[in-house]
Amino acid sequence: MEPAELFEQHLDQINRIIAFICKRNHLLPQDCDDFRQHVHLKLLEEDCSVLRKFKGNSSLSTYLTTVISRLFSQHRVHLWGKWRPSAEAKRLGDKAITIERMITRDDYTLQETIDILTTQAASSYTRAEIEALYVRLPPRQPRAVLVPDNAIPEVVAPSAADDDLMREQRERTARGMASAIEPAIEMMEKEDKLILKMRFWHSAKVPDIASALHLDQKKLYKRLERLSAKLEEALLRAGFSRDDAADLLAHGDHNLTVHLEKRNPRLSKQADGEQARAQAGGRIDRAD
Amino acid sequence: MTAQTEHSQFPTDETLAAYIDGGLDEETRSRVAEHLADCAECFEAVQVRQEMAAAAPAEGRVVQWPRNALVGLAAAAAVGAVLFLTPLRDRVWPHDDIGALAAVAPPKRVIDGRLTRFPYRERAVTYRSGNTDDDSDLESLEFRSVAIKVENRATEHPNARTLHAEGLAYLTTGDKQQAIKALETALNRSSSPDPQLLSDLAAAYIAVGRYQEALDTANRAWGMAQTPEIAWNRAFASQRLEHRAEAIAAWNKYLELDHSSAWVPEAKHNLEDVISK
Repeated sequence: MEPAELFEQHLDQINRIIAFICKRNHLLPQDCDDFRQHVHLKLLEEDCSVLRKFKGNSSLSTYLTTVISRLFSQHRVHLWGKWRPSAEAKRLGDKAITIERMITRDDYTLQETIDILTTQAASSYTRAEIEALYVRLPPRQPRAVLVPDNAIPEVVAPSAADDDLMREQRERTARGMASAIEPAIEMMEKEDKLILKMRFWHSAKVPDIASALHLDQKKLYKRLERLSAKLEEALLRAGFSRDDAADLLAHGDHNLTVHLEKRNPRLSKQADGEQARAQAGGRIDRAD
Repeated sequence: MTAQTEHSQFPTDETLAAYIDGGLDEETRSRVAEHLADCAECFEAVQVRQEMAAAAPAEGRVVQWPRNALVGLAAAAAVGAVLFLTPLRDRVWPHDDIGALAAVAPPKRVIDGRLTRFPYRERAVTYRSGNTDDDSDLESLEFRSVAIKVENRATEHPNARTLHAEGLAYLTTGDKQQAIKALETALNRSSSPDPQLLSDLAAAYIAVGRYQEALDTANRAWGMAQTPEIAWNRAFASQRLEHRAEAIAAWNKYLELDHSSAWVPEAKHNLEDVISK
């Protein structure tokens, strides 16, 4: 069979994988088209050398997923123009980059990001995962924006101020805990580090980790207990209470939850006319 | 311009994909795991594959369960959790290895006989060297990756069912002697003769030219069940033994059982071949 025929024959499967990766990274339709063309080109290059390299040590579908996923990692710089993810987001992976991009470049709030990413059909994100990744990203610097006078209440309701305070405190605690356990995780054996990364960065459940890393589930529970004891020591050393540490380590699936309140629509999301009015007679305030 | 997708020498796309599918030896698996701890790019590939697998059934269908079914489902889930502890699961709810092999059957078949549940495939051309023209495409490679898993399972849990599947894996990849050995062992280990197993053994005998044994085995299966696969193998063995009347009757019998499948044109062609001689 001719290599180009191989490509044609598996085109549906290739396009399904591309579509999944585009959805996972929340790409715009034109960016999906761009990436699809890039993948097709790469797979056809050198007489379909990538397809011909497949030796059957895995299923074809896994092989194609690996190839296309890696192509995305190399291609994303091209997709996002001048915007660059932080080093931390790059270290945390594509999902963290997507979250950071939506918050810092596209100007969504965390809550909006959670809503968008978790409500798609068959979403690969969970709220816990987004929050766990969010607190590991560099804190967002409040942007100075213009708002109209009448958009700012004369007297701020005490309950709203309390909510903001609580939100900030929760976020600070979550960030503090994340930064306390990360050096401890970095010090661990490579495979332990990988397990903890899945558990605490991606809120993966133990059976899912066992399945992805081909580990015995029963032994993994014991291993996690041992690793959690080390992380608890790190948290205690960093000044967190035993209760906080126990809560975090016992509830890896919904740890570090920030529970940010929904905010009013921001100026950047308002109609053009309102923006123009704001720019004409508004004053400077903080968006976040 | 290069088609390189790999970021370093290790792991290659092939090795990383084999890691994801659990196809690596312990040493390489451990090396890949160590690499994943520090490489976001490779870690993404693992995650994407896992998420795709998890999303597949959800995207495939939406089922509205009646409320009172949920209690039953919860109980079933609890039982399921116990059953899915291998190897207990293998005994209670065995892998459908033959179904898995049939689902990725190569685009051409390398034997004349018909195998249990395998779809129709055009017969591959066999050259004088014994090589066939089907060994370079991706479906064949995909079949081989499933065949390796089937073989491993038969090695770990040798019983009539796993050895039967292993025999079909060998037969489809062209290792006919190993296929006969596995199928005969499966037959010896089965508590009662299985007509499908007998039929597949008949197909293996046809593949190595042991036509009389093939006919005897197919007739034995035919006495227990009258399926298109058995009818095919019985007719083909008769044809090769040049039992003209018997072969014509057997092909007609086949065409009575199968009116419309993709196998029919080839069966008709065989029948015409016998009649014309």
